[in-house]
Amino acid sequence: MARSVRHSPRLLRSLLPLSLLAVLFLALPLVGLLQGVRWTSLLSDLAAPQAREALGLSLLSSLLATALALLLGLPLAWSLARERFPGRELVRALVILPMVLPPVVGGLALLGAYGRSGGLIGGWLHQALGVQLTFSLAGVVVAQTFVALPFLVLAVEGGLRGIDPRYEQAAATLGAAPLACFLRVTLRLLLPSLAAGTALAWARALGEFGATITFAGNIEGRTQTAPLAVYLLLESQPAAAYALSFALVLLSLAVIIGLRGRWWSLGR
Amino acid sequence: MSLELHGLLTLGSLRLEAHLEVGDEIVAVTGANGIGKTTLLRLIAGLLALDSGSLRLHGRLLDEAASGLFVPPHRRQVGLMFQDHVLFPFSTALENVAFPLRRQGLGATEARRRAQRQLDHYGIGALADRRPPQLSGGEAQRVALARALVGRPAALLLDEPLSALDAGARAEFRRLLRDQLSALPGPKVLVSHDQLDSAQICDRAVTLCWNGSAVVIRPAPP
Repeated sequence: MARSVRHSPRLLRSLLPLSLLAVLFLALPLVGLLQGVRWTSLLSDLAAPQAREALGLSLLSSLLATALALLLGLPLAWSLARERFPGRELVRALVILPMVLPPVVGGLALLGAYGRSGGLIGGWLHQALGVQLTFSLAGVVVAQTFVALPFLVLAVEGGLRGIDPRYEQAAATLGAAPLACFLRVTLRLLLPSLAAGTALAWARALGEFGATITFAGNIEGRTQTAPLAVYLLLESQPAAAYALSFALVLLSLAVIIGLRGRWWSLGR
Repeated sequence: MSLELHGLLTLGSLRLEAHLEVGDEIVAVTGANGIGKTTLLRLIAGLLALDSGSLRLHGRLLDEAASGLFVPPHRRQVGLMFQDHVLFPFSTALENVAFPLRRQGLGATEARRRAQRQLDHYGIGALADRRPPQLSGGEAQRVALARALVGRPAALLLDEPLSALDAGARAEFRRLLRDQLSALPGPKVLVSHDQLDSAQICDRAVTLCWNGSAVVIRPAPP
């Protein structure tokens, strides 16, 4: 094994102990959460109606939101990466907006558009199609999709831009028609970015709080997702709140393991 | 002539006045770095379109600026071997070679059988299950040649097929190229900056040069 050669100022090398501080800062709350969990009653706490319903609702709504984000996001990511159209930079800025916008403000904006009374098209949605988004599962899904979409679009767009065009050109000279080229080469090369974007979007949808409570409300069994339930149970049943939190940590852990190799790896 | 190219292409600052006729032979294209050799191949393969003039292969019109006719690359039957193999990284050597056969409508089993036979023929049958990162430069280049030729293209273009190889692998691959290209009917165009390569593999050579207003194709000086 060769000795590694480094070229960085001596002062910066002494930052290693300092970076330990950041690690502690991140790790301590996690430990705090774990020591708050009442392990002996973990399963029964999770099985209590409010916690169980909230968790089930969260799983269902976040999966639906992820599917909707894929449906809406893939064409947009493709257009941003491969097409030239006027206002493309503006569209990209718009895509990033929900990422930086405070979620509560996002929820308020959703009310302004899709709210049944006073929303731009909310009244029409209700009268013409009989669809009411506020205070319904559909509203939860819309709120989650709103905040999750940017993660998917940016990951997939980045993935598409990273594809060496010569692979697609080679496929074409080997007789692949555009559709076959897309399905057998482009999509295949895009798979890691697509998986990462989907996982991130799902995680973001699962953790959504502000936009959901503002737009879809907080109705037990209907729009009360796990993050909302954690916040509310903390007063009345802290053990249930911790049990739910622990379940969410496990789900987040699954996402991180799913992203292994993309942003981190076990050894080298 | 099998391949008849008479046309003009402008691409960025490049202005290429291409007059090239290739019969059933191997023609080397030489010229300074960056002068437009790769662009010429991309034009014939259909990855670029002519601004004026026309391109024919075996009498079939592939590109005609005046009428707007343009045959896309996947319908040209023109093989193109890139400088650094461009094997699909997600596929094994066997799947890479089976790819063009599958696109021709062959079933999966038959395509794999023929791909394996092709790899055997190139002396790399044992590497069938390896993925591109697990292949040496010479091995990857052999797989790329096998893949380019397995579908029996009507014409074959090769972009610096030897430049990525070290001296030992180079001599061996040169022989393989000579044998395989001679066995394939139709026009073959090989871009190379190496005189020895072009002299040993090709029947004749042309060179790209700047004539003061455009890059043109001239017979190479002997």
